Amino acid sequence: MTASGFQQQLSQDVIQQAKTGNMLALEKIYLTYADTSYNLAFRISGNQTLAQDIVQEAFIKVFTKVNNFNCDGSFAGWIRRIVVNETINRVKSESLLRLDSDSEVVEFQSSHLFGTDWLDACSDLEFLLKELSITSRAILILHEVEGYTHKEIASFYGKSVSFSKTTLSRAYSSLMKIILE
Amino acid sequence: MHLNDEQLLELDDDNEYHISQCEECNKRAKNLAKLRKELKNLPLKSLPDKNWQTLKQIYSTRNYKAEPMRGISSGKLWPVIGVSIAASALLMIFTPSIDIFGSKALSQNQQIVALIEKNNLLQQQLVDFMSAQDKEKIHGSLIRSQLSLIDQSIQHVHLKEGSSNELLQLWNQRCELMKEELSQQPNSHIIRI
Repeated sequence: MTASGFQQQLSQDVIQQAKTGNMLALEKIYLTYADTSYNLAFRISGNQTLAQDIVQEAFIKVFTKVNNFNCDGSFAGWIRRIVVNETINRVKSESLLRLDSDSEVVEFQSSHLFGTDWLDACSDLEFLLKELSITSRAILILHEVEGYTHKEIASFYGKSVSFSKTTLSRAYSSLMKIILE
Repeated sequence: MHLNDEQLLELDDDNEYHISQCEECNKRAKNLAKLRKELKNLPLKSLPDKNWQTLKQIYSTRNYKAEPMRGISSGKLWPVIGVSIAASALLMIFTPSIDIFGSKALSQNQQIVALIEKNNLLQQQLVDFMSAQDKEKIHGSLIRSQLSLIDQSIQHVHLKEGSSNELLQLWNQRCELMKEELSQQPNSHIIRI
């Protein structure tokens, strides 16, 4: 099975070439990760034009900072982090995001969210996601789809781990409510 | 006692064991797994209008502007803002040799100095305008290429100790090119020099 999205890895040769500013290498990076970066930015922002803009800015950052990539971790993971940071920052600056302060976050101890298979009642999950608040949708995507830990998500937002955990529970709660109403 | 939703969302070893023993929590865990699978299987959205050439132009433009921060060794620094200053310096170096040609040469030399100042102001306006207008990036690189060619000719004249007349023509050409460029831009106001 062919790797897709951020699972795709480029050769060290391409990365080294990119570090020297080789345009062909930069193009290869862009063509490999542009779609998946857009997909991530779009899933979080819910806005096509904004997501396109985010991808452009993220790649400019990738090209500018590629020299700082120290080859310790995954190159795709490094790009993905830049895209996530760019998305969160842009969404914040576009005033689309309301960040709840930790004191506002109500601790959740529910045990009713997954008792029934309520997703069966939903025919269009994509549409449903758009109904969520941007914060809820972002954390749902980052944790459940992209696999970031609550600690990593908290650092993206400059918030506590409990903020991430509670917002995730809230996202599921909102999804369920929207479907069942 | 059943697991709460947060425990279910982040299972540790104890909770895994609980799930294996508790029918109710097992069912809830399966529902959650199904939700997660659906989320992961959302169709991939492809970037509409994926255009490498445009991104390349934007990157080159910004990189180009950032060049002066990287030091003078890069050849790209010269055409951006350094040309007039550098040329002025060269002119000062060559001034004694130009002077020996007499008062006509001296007068041309003064004209060149005035033209360099004019070029500096026009170039500043052009740089300001281009950085304010995202849409001008592609066209911006064209004007920079043209300016770069003239700059190279100016350098060449200096290096071969060419005549003031040649320099005068080149600086004039440079000035006119920027004036023309600025006059074509909507909402641009060329400052009278």
